[in-house]
Amino acid sequence: MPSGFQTLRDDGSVHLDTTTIVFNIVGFIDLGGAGSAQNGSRALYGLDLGDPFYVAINTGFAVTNQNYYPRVTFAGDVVSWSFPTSDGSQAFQRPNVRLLIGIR
Amino acid sequence: MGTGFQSFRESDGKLQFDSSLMTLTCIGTGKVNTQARTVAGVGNTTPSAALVPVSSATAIVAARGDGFGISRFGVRSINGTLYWVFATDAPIGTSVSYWVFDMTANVAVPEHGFGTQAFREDGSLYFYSELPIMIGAGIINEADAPIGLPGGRTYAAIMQDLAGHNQSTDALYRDGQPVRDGGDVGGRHVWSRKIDGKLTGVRFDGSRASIVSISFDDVIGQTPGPADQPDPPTVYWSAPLTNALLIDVTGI
Repeated sequence: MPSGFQTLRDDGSVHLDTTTIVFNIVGFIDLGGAGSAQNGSRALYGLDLGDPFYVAINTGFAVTNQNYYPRVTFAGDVVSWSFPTSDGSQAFQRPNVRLLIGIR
Repeated sequence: MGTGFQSFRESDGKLQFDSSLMTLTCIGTGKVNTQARTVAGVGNTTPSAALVPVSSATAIVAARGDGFGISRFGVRSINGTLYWVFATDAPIGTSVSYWVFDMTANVAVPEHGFGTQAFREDGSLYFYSELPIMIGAGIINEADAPIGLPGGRTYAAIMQDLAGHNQSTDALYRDGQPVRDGGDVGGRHVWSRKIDGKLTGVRFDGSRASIVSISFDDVIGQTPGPADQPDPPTVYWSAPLTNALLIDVTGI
């Protein structure tokens, strides 16, 4: 029998046990806005404790702005992002993006 | 290192819980029928739309199309109600299952009850065994082959909005007449093009998740720039579906 944490539902079925993958959320980061920097990074506790991932939860993109999508990378406990264009003076060049950052 | 509750998976030794982090909990589930795309202004050629009501701006919706594709269009407020809107390739009237998640810290729980609770250092709730926490099954990206997940369970996907939206030129029209390519034909002409506009979504067939392309704006439109330009620009752009979360929602 495996050792570790296990929880059951009311009907006795296993809700989670030592094999369950929980998507832990490390944080949310809001990017974009006219005049915002092309590049940025942030250290987040826990990012290096598992396999990091991100999802762009809300991009607020206008349809014609898709080629201004930010690139997101991870290194250790640091998440970095970069917008494709150096000129970010216009809102469409820096679309507002909400990133959900997590580990699994 | 944070304080509090921490555990690791037996299978690979990776972190499973750490109460210094945050979790998401399912706060609602249900089904909606797909409607006409015009209800929420979803593209020009999308077969149907699914509107999932949410009660807060922080809610995150996982959706499942059984045997058809779903792609997330965006968040829209319609008649005072906030919706997560999805584009689907299913006929109008098809049932879409959904699960609404929010930060566990935002969920009200009794101070005393049965089960296990874990709190973060700031006092907010991290885990409560009575709540259906978000359980991961995998991640799928635009270029991925279909993923076979363990059978006998139910899965749904969380996606970025307008994932994979692309426009490429299917055909060019010069002064209303189709041409094979633009080229330098001299003079100034009115150019239009047939746009191959799609969204990328996720389709479930049982426990198999795969990437699908859903019609969004397969239309004839004017080329970008002045209408009477000498040569039409070549247009292609896309933001591929990135890290769609595959969630195990069995029993929720």
